[in-house]
Amino acid sequence: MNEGPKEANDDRALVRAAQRGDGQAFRKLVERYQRRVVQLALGMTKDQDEAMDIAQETFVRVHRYLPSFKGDSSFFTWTYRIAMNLCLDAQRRRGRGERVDLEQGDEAEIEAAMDPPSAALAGPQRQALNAELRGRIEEALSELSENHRAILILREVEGLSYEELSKVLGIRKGTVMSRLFHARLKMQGKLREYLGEDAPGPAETEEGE
Amino acid sequence: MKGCEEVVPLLGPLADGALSTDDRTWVEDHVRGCASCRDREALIVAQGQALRDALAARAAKLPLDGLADRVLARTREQRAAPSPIPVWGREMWWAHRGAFLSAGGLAAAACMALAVFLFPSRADDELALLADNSPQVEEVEFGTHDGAVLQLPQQTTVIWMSDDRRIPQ
Repeated sequence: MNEGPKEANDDRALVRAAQRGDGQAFRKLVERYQRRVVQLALGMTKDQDEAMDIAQETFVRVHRYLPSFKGDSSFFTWTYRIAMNLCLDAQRRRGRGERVDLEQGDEAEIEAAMDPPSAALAGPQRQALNAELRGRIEEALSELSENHRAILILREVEGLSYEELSKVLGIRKGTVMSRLFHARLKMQGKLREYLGEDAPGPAETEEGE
Repeated sequence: MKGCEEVVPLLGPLADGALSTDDRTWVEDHVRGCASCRDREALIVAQGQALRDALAARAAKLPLDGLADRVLARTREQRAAPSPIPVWGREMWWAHRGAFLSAGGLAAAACMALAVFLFPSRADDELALLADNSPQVEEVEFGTHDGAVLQLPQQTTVIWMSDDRRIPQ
């Protein structure tokens, strides 16, 4: 999210006030982050009602645990971690909690996805396909495992740094890099399928030119 | 110039601005001379933008006006809720506190012993590493080949790559 220094300072002041029982300060924190939390939940669950419930529950828990928040991490990182845990809990309750893929990908899929993007995905027609890409990307996202979905949303949508991803997801930085790499490849593979892309692109290379 | 095999896993970190200065220099050198890697990086950026646009468009349609009110109402309800321990429970606690404390202490000790036996390395492996600022080396798998990430206190990251499968150009 690239939280600026002013926003971080504001957060700290609002958190301190909310910890002293200032309801208006807590309201400002909710209003500042509610859309981002809803956006995160929407990406994870796809269901609007469930996303709203998760967002509400996130802030209720933030309020409950605020007295013990020490400020070791930034307020938004802490809030996202609570929201993400609620999203994962909701999915496990529905039996969709497959987390087994982790950093290992299917070899054939990885090799296919490692082909250079062909014209339809990366060439001059890309602009024309952007609308199609947007239409399909949520579908592709929903088919990824929860680990891959989570890291893609937090990085691509919320703009968390690798350091922040490490804190929110509770994984080390090398795992962040590896998981993000595989998540992006999986997403590219899904999009190739949707866009009717199965042939690798032209074999041109300018390496060393 | 290094090959695509070593560059491909770093295109995402390059697009994310997460490479150390040294790594960024040689990766950018490669990308300037390789149309395939330029396309790969462009695809990463386009895919991220499409995801942002799609989710922002959906979130923008949701009415959030009442969310803060609902959250605050629930926090007030929770504050107003009666204590979960009824009077008879408190009385029983005071009457038998010695027995409860003894039983609780024994149960806690048993749980701790069991946890140490069943999960001996979890705390070391995850919690301590996350909190520790000393240099750490982590083996990672990037699909094309294995690598290692060296994490230094200044967050510099270096990746060594071993030769492995060839990536189509």
